[in-house]
Amino acid sequence: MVLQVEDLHTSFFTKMGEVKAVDGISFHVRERETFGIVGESGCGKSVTGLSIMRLLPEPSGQIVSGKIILEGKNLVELSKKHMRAYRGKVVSMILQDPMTSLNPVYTIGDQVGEAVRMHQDLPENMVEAEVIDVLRLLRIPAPEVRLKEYPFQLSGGMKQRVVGAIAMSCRPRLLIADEPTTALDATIQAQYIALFEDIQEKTNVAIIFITHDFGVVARICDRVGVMYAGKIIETAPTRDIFKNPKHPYTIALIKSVPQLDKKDDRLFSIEGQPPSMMNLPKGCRFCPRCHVALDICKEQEPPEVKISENRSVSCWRVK
Amino acid sequence: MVRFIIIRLLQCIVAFFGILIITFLLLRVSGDPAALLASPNFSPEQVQAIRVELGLDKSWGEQLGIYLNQVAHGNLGESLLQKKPVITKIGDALPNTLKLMVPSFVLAMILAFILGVLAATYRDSWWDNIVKFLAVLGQALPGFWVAIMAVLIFSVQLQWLPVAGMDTPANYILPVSTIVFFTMPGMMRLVRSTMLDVLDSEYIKMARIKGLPERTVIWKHALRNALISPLTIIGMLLPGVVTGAVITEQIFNWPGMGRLLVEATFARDFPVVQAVVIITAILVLGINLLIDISYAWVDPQIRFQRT
Repeated sequence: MVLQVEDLHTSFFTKMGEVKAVDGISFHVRERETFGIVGESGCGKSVTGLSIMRLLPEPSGQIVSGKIILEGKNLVELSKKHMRAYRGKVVSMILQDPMTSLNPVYTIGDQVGEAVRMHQDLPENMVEAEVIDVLRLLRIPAPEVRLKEYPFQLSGGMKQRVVGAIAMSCRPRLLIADEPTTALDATIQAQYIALFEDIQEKTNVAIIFITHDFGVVARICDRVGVMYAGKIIETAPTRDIFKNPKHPYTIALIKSVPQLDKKDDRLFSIEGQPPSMMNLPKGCRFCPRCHVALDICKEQEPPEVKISENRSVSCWRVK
Repeated sequence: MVRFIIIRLLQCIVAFFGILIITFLLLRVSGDPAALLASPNFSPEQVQAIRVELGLDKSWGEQLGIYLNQVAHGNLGESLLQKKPVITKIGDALPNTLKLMVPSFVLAMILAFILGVLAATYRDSWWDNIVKFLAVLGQALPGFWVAIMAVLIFSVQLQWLPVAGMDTPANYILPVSTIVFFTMPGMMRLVRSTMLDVLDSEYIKMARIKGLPERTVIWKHALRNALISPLTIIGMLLPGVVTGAVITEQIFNWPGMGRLLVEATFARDFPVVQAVVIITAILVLGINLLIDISYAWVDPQIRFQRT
């Protein structure tokens, strides 16, 4: 087990009150596994990623309780200095927008090399070879030339590979990819996903893939957790979740993926809005938008039910 | 890049002669120096004789032609008041101004960057609030008033520091503080706000993801990106610093370029005023050119542009 998250609560303390962005989630990721976190904007999936990195915006964002156990160490309890030594070395992250993730005034070699110098005790003359090595891992053509180039000289897809190279520069055990393909166009997206599989094969890295796109989930994730309003409402292997989704929200989400072989006039969409994170409903959070809600759904939050070895669901309809 | 510098150099030369001609004409509009040089009991013929001697009887066009010819040959003329070459007067005054202005400006900029960066880093802390308050204070209070108050409090009342002059290091404290006080706040605010923008960006998040220490994130990754607009403003501040020095030098009786300029203007000593303006123009244009070139160092995209 590379990562085990247990009952994680992360809140933002604003002038208007506490926003429980992540409200008690648990999941784990194994070595060489890709775990997908899927959900709408604002459901707390990015905050989950930032919590693991311990890079929540200060001072408003805070981990309130829970455990994040990475390679046997609880990250929540680490000092700032200790956590910094983990960041980039044991756990790393790729952000959504490649156009703004690279510093415009430093060369690629500088920016990748910086991460290498930070965590690996290499003599200076070996740093460049190491940088070229990791650029190759990300299949960046002519890495010796790229080294001396600036971000504005690269295309969007190439920039996102460089961001990947920075994240992978110390061969971390866990990689958090926060919508890394959302800003890329469809063909580049497919290449980038294939690249992830390749990297995983070579380095055994565990990946948390955060996305809102079930199509991407189907292509890369081994298991997936569906998040809604700060909670994971269903966890299952990817194959099972497409074949037999249990939670009404998951069912609706999968139904709203556009399909080429069906000639529907209108794309299916879920009615209503996710609840305000400052004013959550008393019972099930999805209840106001749910077509199959029972009376109990309005009153009480459903517990997480383990329905098989690898699957769990939080819904009163699922026993 | 070379082409860029050449174009900018040509622009500087055009601007330089523009400044020269405008100053020349403005001075002539201000009045007749012969009337000031002559005693009240001089006859009109005697006054006319002074004009002829100084070459002021010729038309403005002719005078301008002679003057431009002189300047092109590196001759700045003679003072009308004392028969001394202008160049010696400037030679006496310029080092004094530089002795005052260079440390003041450098100190102001260093403080502005340090305070501005720290205020942005610790946004909304008590520290940030102090910086914001200082910035408002410095921009709201006029420099000459601050200088006079400083003299009143520290020299007259407390008698800690000398009133005027430039003989001892203690003489520098008040004028330098005054100049720092009115040049630093604007820059400090600008550094703070550009730093806030930069600190919000994704590449700063990425730098933290790498596990870099906070000081590297701020002083290496953020500051270099936040340099462009402060550099522009430094270019715009420099002329202001020179005129600011006029007031400061006047108040602290500092024998520099500012005081020379004020005295020469009141006496309608045309060659001196023109020479001071020329020197100032060369300094300002030269520094602006250096600033433009420094953009290329800060932003690689400018360096690679083929303009």
